[in-house]
Amino acid sequence: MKKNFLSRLIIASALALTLVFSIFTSNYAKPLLNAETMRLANILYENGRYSEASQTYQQLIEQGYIDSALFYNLGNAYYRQDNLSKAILNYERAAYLSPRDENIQANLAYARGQRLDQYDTKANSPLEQWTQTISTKMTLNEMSIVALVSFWALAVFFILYNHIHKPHLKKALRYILTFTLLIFTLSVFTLGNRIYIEKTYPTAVVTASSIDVVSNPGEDGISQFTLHSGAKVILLETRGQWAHLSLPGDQFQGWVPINTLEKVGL
Amino acid sequence: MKTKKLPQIILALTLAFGLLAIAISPSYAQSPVRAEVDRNQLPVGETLTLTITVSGSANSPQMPMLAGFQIVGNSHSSQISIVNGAISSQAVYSYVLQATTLGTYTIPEIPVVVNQQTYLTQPIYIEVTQGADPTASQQNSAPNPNTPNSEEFYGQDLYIEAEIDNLTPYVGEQITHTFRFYRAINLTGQPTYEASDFAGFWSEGESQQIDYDTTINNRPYHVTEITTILFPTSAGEHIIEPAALNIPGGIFTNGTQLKTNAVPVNVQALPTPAPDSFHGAVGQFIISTSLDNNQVAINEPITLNISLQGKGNFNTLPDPEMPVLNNWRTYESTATINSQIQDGIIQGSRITKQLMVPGSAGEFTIPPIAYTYFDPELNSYHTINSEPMTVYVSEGVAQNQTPQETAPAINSPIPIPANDIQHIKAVPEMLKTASTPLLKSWLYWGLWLLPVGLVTADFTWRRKQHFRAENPDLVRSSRAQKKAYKKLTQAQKNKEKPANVIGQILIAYLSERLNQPLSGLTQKELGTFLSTQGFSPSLIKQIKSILTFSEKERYAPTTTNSATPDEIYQLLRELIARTEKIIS
Repeated sequence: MKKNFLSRLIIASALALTLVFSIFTSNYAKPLLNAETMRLANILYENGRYSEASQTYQQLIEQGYIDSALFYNLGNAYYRQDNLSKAILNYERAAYLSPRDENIQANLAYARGQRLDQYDTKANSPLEQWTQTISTKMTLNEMSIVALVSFWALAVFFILYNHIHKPHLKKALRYILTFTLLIFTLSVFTLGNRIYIEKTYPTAVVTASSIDVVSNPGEDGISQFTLHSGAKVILLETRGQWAHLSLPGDQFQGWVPINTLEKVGL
Repeated sequence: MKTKKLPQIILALTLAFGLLAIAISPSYAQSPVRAEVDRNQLPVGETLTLTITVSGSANSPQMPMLAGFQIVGNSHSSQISIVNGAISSQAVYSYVLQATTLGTYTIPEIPVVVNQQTYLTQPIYIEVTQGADPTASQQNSAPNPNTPNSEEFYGQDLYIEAEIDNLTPYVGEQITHTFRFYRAINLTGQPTYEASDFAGFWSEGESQQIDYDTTINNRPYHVTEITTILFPTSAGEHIIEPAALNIPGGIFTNGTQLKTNAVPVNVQALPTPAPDSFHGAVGQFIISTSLDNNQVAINEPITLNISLQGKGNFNTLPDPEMPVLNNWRTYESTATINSQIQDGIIQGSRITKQLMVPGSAGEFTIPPIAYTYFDPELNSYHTINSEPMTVYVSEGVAQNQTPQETAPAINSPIPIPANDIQHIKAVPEMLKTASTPLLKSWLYWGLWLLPVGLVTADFTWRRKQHFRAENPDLVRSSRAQKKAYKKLTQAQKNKEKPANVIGQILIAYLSERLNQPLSGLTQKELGTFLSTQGFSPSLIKQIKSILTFSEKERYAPTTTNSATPDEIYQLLRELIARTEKIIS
C-alpha cells in the first residue's frame, strides 16, 4: 500500500516537474521568421554600414523580437557609430536577457570603461549586493523557476519524510529537508528583493552627451552636478517632461529633462 | 518703579534679539563657501577674476551690485568626485570684474544658499589704481630688448630681424626663435607676418607676441616681438628659413615685403655613450610617484601616478618604465600633460596613470622607478629614482570591479586588456519574441499551489489511516453496508435464488454493523437485541419477515411467489438503507 503510494507520488512529482520545465524552458521562442533580416543586418555591420545595420536590428526589435543577440549586435552597431550611450543601453538590455553571456559582459564592461562618469555602482547593503550578484548570473524567469522548483522539492521531501520510517533514511532526509528549506528561503527572498528593486528603482542610461542635473524640475532648477553620455542612473519618478533620478547610493539626486534618458527595461 | 524697569526690559530684549541674530546669522566658521580674487590691486580698465567655490549642492550666488566694477563675464563649473565611496560635489562660479573707477572698493559679503542654509563669503578689499603709463609699462615689460646693429639700422623706417637664443643646441633642447619688427612710422594698413618653416624642429605651443617702444640712434621705434619655442628633432645643421612681413601699400605707395635672414642652427647630437636606461628625455626633471590607495583587496584596481616635473618637451617625453610585480595585472597607461611657458621656458608636468590589479594577497613593494634624462645645461646624463611604496592586498574580493572584471581570476595568465569590443553574434536558431514574464502567468502561480495541495492531501490521507488503525470496529461497521451491497450485486449477477442468500447477507450485515455476532440467535432474541439498539418495531418486523422468508423458501419453496428475485434484492437494499439511517 505504502510502496504504491510512494511510487505514485514520485511519478506524479516527476511528471509535474517535467511539465514545468517543458512549459518554461522550451518556449516563448518562435521559429525565426526574420532570420534573413537579421542576417542582412549582420552583413551590413560586417561591411561597415553600421547606421543601416542598427536600423535593421531596431526594426526587428520593434516587430517584437526580444533576443539578447539582437540587442548585443545593436549595441555593437551603435558603438561603431560612436554612440556610446545607445551602445551601453543595448548592452544592458542584452545582459538583462542573457546575464551569463561572456561577450555581452565583456562589451558592456568595455563600453562602461569609456564613460566620463566613472562612479562606483557598489550596492549599499549586503542584501542589495547579493541581489546584484545574482542578477548578473540569472534572469528573473530563471530565478522564478528556482524558487518554484525548490518549493516543489521541499513539498516532495516533506511528504517522503512523513512516509519513511527507517531511521537512517529519515536522518538523511532531515538534512536534505534543511538544505532544501535553506535554498527555498534564499531563492524566495532574492526573488522578492529583485522584483522590489526592479519595480521601485528602474534604471536608465543618460543619452544626452552632457546634462546638468538640477535641483527641481523646471527652468529655475539649480545645477547640482553634470552627467555624461552612458551614465547609468536610477529613475525615481517622472513628472511631466522631467525625470527625477539618483546616482547609486541615493546620495545624489536631481532632475533632468526626460528626453535625455532612456529606460533600460523594455 | 515701572519707569525704572522699562530700560531694563528694553536692554534685555535688545540683548535677546542680538543673541538671536547672532545665532541665526550665517557664520564664516567652516563655511562651505569661499571667495577669492586673482589680484587685489589693478589699474582702471583692467579686469580681475572673482572665484566663488562652493562645496555641496548650492544655488548660484546672488551677486550684489558692485561699486567701482562691472561684471563683464561669468562662468560656472561643477565637479563631482568619489573618494573611497564618499561622494562630494564642488561648484565653482567665476566672475570677471572690470575696474571702472579709481579708488578702494570692497567686494561685499555674497550670500550663497548651500543645503538650504545661507552662507556669506568674506568681504574682499580691492584697490583700483590709476592706469599706468602705457609706454613705461610696455618698456618695462619688454624682456631683453636687443638693440639691433646700429649701422644696418641707421635711417630705416621699418626693419625686421630674426634671432635664435642658442645656435648650437642639443637634440631635444629648447631654443627660442625671436622675430622683431621695428617701425618708426605709422602704417596705413596692418602688416601680416609669415612665420618661418621650422623644418627639423618641434614647435611647442603658440607663438607669443608682445609690443613695446624703444629708442635706437635717438629715434623712437615701436617694436612687435614674436617668440616661438622650438625643440630640434635631429642632429646636424638646420637652417631656419627667413620669416617675412608683408606691408600693404597705401594710396600712393606700393606694398613691400621684408624678410629676415636665414638662421643656421647647428644641432648637436647627444653625447655618447648614452646610458641604457636613456630613452630620449632632454631637459631637467624630477620624478615622484603616488598611489590612490595602498590598502586594497584582490582584484581591486589601484592607480599608480608617476609624475615627471620640470623643463623640457613634455609632449615627446618617453614614459617611465612601469614596475613589474608578480601576480599583478597592469593595463594601458594614460598620460596627462600640463605645461606652460614661464620666463620663456616651457615648464610643466607629465603624469602617467597606470591601472594595476593585484591577483594575490600580501604585502607588495612597488620598486623605485628610474628615469634617465640628458641635462643640456650640465651637459650630462642623470638618472633619478622615485621612492619605493608598499601596498597591502587583502584576501577579500573587491566589489568595485574594473571594467576588465571578466578577466580570469587569481593565478591565471595575465589577460591582454581589451582594445576593442567583441564581434557581433551570428543569427540564432531561434529568435526569441517578447513574452509574458513567468511572474505574470497564472499557470506559474497555479504550480505554486500544487505542492500545497499535495501536502494537504497527504496530511488528510495520513490522518485517515491513523484513525482507521485506532478504530478497527468502527471501520468494520462502516464497511458493513458496502459489503452487503457488494454481496447482493454479486448474487443478483449470478442469478442466485434470493432465499439462499438474503438471510445470510442480512445477518452478516447486522453482525458487522452492530459489532455483535448474531448468527446463533433465534428470531426472538434477535428482535430483543435489535430493539435495544433502537430499531423500530416495524423495522424489526420487516427484518424478521425477510429471515422467515429466507428460511421457509430454502427448505420448502413455494411456486406461487409473486415477487421477482430483483424485487426481493431491492427490498433488502431498502431495508439496509433504512437500518443505516437508524444507526447513524
